[in-house]
Amino acid sequence: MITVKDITCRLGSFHLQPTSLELHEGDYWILLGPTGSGKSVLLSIIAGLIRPDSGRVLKEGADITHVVPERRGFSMMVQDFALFPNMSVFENIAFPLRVRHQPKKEVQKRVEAMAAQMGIKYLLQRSLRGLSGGEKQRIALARALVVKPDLLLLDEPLSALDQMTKRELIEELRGIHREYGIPVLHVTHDFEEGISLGNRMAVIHQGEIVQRGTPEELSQHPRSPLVAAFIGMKNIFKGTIEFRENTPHFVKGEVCFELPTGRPGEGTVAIPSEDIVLSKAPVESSARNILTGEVREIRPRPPLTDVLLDVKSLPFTATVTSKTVKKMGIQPGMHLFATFKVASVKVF
Amino acid sequence: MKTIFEKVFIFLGGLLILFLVIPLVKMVFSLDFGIARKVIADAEVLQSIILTLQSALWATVIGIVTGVPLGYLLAKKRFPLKSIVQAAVDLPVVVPHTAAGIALLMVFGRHFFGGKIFSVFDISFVGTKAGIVIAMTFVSAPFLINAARDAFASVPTRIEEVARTLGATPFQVFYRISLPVALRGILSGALLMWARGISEFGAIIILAYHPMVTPVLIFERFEAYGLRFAYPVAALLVLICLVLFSLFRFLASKREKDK
Repeated sequence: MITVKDITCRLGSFHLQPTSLELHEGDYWILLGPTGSGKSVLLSIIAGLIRPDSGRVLKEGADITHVVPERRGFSMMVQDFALFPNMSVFENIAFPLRVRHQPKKEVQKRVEAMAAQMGIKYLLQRSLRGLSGGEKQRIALARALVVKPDLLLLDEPLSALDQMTKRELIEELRGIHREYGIPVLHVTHDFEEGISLGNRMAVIHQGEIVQRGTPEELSQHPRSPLVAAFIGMKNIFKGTIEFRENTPHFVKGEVCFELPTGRPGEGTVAIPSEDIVLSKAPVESSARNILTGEVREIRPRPPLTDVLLDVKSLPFTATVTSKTVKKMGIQPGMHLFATFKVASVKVF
Repeated sequence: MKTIFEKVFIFLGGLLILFLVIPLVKMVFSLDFGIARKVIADAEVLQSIILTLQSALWATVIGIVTGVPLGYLLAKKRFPLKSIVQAAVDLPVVVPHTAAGIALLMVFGRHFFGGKIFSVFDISFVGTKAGIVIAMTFVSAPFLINAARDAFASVPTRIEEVARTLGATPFQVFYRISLPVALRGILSGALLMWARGISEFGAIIILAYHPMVTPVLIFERFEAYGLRFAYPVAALLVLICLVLFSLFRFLASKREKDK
């Protein structure tokens, strides 16, 4: 377990407020925040690259606040890959072993095994020239993991990649996290990336963690408009994906609706609140998901209004115009139908 | 189709290139085989050329040993009075070289403290090869320091930080990553420093008129015997320099291609 306790740091005009964080085995923490929010500073402090003004960093209870980065056993991977341009692919991955003076045979064996696992064995003898972004990031990941670190620090690791490569690497990171169980601290400004990977999430703004919890909790109960705006997505649910009549369905408690894609097992889905149509009677349309719920709350944010529905105790939010609310006479306690297309459901 | 704008620039730039190249080419080509042979056979000329190349090489070695660490610090570290240190590095480039020679003499002359310290080791800087070396080092070190600084600055700090988290000590990061990546820039700076050392005249004549480096020899022959006796020596030195530098450039580019 790695613990960050009341860390503060002043860098020029930036000020990191007292920050604490606990990283347990199996945790995949997403540190979400806009540019300049201090998320990378926090990461650098944990890595040992920046010394905090006060507070402590603990590893398995031992104080490592003043331990140099190379003795911490935390591998870092960054947005622009940071591959060593003077080395081949093999030498890049071998670097952490070489600086630890591992015997040659051992280096050869472990680099090859790691490269095979990442699917880049065919690249080993190449120089870095002409490699794609995805290949470079796989090399960086292999290099970070070859020594089996106690913590993986990821600083915007997917921001420089195209959408397709990004999806592939998300799968890769998930697999690695499942297999190794190493705690991960992943810094990003991309909520979708965060929700695809993280099981813990903290939103950081102006040097302060403003809220933390599971991605689901954050989306359902954003403690401030800022968190809500940054997450930018409502109706995020974690539940089970099952196949019914050969189509994937999301199931949580009594609620069940159809999904466009999905693999059986645990899954997270999101329905953009703008895509939910409210009506007093069931509407006949191409939309296949129709749920019923009771209006709990009406939150105006002109010119729109968020209508919070209780669908068999699952909280749904539908965003409609304020005019609609008036015209339909929507009030708390009212029963409404919520309709949305299968295609508008996002599956993570 | 070239625009008028481009044509004007090509004309102006071309004018300068011609001005730079024509005198040297004319001098080298005036050197016919007979004269060249006589000059090479002249022991004084040959000795001075060897002395010049050697002294400049020693100056460059001193420059590498001390200038590479300085360049690294300037590129990568923050420290008090850094801008003043940077200005001091550039100082030798802007002071007249004879003035630099006088200044050196006032530290390393026999009766001054630097001279006294080194006299303990039986090293004197006046009228000696050691004097030539320190004069060359003084005026040419900035070229190497600045080249090393720029080369280290071009190595992203992020890469060095990632290497630290992967288990490398600061020294391992330096010799496994920063230095290899910056090496090309440093070598080209060293070459420049060597060339600048070979061409030094002003600071050397103050400290060590004798033993005679080639630029001093050229000056002396011109003063004593005139152009006809001075230009073959000058042409020979220019020729040797051109051959050496072309060779280094060629090797450097070949090494880069081999990678």
